[in-house]
Amino acid sequence: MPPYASLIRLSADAGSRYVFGDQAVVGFVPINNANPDLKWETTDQTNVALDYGFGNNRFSGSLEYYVKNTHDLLLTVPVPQPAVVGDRLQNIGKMSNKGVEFSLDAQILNRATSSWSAGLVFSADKNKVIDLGTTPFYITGIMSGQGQSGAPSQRILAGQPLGTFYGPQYIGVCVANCGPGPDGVSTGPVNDPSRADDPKPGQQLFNHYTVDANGKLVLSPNATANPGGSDFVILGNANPKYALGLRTSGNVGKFDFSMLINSQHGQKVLNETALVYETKSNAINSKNFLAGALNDGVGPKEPSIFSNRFIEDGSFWRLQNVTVGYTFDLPRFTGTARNSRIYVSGDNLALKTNYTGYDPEVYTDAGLASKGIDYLHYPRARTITGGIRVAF
Amino acid sequence: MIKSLGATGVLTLLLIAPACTDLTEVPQSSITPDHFYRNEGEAVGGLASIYAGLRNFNGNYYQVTEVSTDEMIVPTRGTDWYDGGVWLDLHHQTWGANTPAGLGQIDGAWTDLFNGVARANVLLDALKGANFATKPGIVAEARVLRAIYYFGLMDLYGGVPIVCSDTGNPLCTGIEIETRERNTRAEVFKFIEDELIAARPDLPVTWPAAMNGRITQGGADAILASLYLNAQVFTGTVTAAGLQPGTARWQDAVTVSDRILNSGTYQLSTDASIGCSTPGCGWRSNFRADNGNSLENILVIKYLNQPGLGLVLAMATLHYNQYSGGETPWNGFSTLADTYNAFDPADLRRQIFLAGPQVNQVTGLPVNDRAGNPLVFDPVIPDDTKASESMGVRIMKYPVDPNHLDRENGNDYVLYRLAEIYLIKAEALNELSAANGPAAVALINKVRERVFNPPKPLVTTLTQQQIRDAILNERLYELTDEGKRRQDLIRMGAYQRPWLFKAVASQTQPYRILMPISLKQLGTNPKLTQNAGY
Repeated sequence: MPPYASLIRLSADAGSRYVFGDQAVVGFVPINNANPDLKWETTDQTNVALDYGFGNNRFSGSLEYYVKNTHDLLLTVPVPQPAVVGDRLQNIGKMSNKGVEFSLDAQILNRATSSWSAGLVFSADKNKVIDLGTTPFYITGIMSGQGQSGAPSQRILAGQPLGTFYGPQYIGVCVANCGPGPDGVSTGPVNDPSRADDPKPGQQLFNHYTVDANGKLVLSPNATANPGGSDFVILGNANPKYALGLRTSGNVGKFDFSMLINSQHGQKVLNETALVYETKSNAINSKNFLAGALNDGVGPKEPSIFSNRFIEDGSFWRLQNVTVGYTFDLPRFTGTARNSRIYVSGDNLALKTNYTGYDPEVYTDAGLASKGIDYLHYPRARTITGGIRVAF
Repeated sequence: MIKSLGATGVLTLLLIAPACTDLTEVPQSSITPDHFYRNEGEAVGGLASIYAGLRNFNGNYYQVTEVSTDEMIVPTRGTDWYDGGVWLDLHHQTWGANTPAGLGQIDGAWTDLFNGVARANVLLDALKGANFATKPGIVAEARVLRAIYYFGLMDLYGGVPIVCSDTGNPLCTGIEIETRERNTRAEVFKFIEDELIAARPDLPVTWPAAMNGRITQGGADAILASLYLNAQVFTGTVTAAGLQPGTARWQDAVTVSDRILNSGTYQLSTDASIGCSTPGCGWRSNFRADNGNSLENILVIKYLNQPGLGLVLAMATLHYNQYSGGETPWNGFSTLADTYNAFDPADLRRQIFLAGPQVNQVTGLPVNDRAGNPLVFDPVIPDDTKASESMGVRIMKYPVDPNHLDRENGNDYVLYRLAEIYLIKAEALNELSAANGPAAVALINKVRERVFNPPKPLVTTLTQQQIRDAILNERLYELTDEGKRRQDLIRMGAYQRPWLFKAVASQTQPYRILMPISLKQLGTNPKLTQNAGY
């Protein structure tokens, strides 16, 4: 929390400069809105946990369930205008997190010269925004890149978790005679203005929704090529349904080994890299495009339009670490060296996923509480480390 | 032992309790308005920040007012310029409270303009307790600036909350951040008018060169003239069926225009008055990087070729290869072929458009497109969702600053200039009476005189309706790219006319003369009601 966040403060920042004559004049501008009612957010947390062990503790582990309710969340949110800037830090709304965590460890083998243990950790967390005060939603997940500047991909909505994708639903590519468009008008010859919003061959098609008298969304039989307004709907969220980790370690004589596998399942990832670069019309701008666009049926001049077409299942299994080592004494070398060790360890050795980008585990910052957006994100490095330890 | 621990606990609680409930912060290392703006230097710093907000008129406001008309289009060019559909939404006139542009530029302009109001309010509130000789002038400038921001809000959204803390005005009840109801559009109109009239006497007629760009009496008058010109729209009500016109103020428009025209402060820039030789260069000098000297410009947004202080409109329109030095242009904003063709080829004002074979705007050398072929701008855009890099005529009213720094150009952006005052007076005279026709045409011809060689005046025998049409056209030729087209089309009942790529449905949606209030703002301030039709 920055100091003096509750007060209106002045600063001579760059945006407040102006020009009189032909000279820049320093301006003093209020840089934040006052909020005298600011207070700490509060969290009520309940945990129920069970630690267990049986078979002389050959099997052990824990089971935990938690419910965490946060009130008066401290969020930087839009304020009623006029105000010196668009938003301020406010205590807004309620959010709940609940989840279970289960772990099981087993001592499979435990002898004088060899041992082997294995364990698993399972967790499932559920995040939900309960209440946002009067505000229906906050816009976030602000995308970047050519042709996507500033376009939002996520909304924070009451009743939904953070990281909820929001946009049009892709239904396919128009092959021929896809009209009428959302206006339902389709008369006259092909070039007639009344057919201006008819989807044309090569265009992407999206579900079109109308809003009925009760404010409910109704799916229109007419698809649209230019989605907007009520065509934007919830497209899933970036939170895994559950995560599973497996670990094992042991030794045989002076050899030791360990392995760690982690996985996440059910989360959505926006492959924004594909949205921008897996589009044929890059060629119009004399740029290359990714091969995936070659056979997608979309016309060569069509824009890249954000939709669930580029939101993918980000489930993955990752072989996070394997280490093999050998411990030995070196009495002849120094007369004193004992417990010296030579080892080789590999990180991020294998990734199994259906995600088509480099890596579904991404943390691109794209605005307030956004997550799961992959835009030109560097893939994780695969590292192999070897080492020798000589102890004196 | 136990007893003494208990006593310590109680004592600690007593010590902490007052600190916990009273969280008032007394800043030692940060300035707040409560102890600032106490002398002229500090007040001018506050004033500069209110002026700085004027640059937003070249941001979201500019995009909404220009791209929603036939003056400008931002076609999607392959993977470029889709931007979530905001540009198509604006030009197609399909926006709503929850659409890409509705949550984009239409929402952004609301915040931008109200930020300007709030900055003015902070200074005006703090100055109530200050005392120094130049205070009345600074207060007057701040009030006019606030009126400009309210003008933009009233223009786009209709009635908006009037917020101020000025002494003696019953409308001013405090500037705290609160949910507030909308005032009517007529009330906002009245507030702007009253503020301009009240502030005017404390403003200078001209400023010395070092203060060029600050608001003058002529600046306040120009805003008033524009206010009166659009009074029937601005004081009317808008229902789903369209505008119920309010009270016309044509005579006031004439009176205020005359005050400017007869002031002797301003004159039209002609080739002779500027002393330049290329035909049309006098007119063009109002937009060049040295246009701080223009005697025609009445109120401008000041720009300088320094980081964050320059005009960047050239970047939005020029092709990637048409600029040299520190920045690659973005190749976006264009005009419609019909609008380009509406200009008489003999009209020197057509020079603002770039069509046909192209040169680098800095070096003057021919340029190629990205594929290596000569760059030729084709006026025809067959489909605005899939244009190529060279489609569309570009608008270069503000020539590149020869001393530009990266993207920053020092051309001042014109808000009001004398030529528009002539056209405002012509229109008001024509509306007052058909008998004023010849006088109105004479004023239009005054504006045409310098941009045709040989001269091509309008005939004085035009009917009232013909003059009306001629003024709408003349304002397009004279004022393209100056953010006036939307107001003009609305005032003339022509904003719902069909033009290329505009949604057919918009022709029967006359409520679109007001923008929607975005869902975001409606949620943030539940006391706001939505405009009719949305």
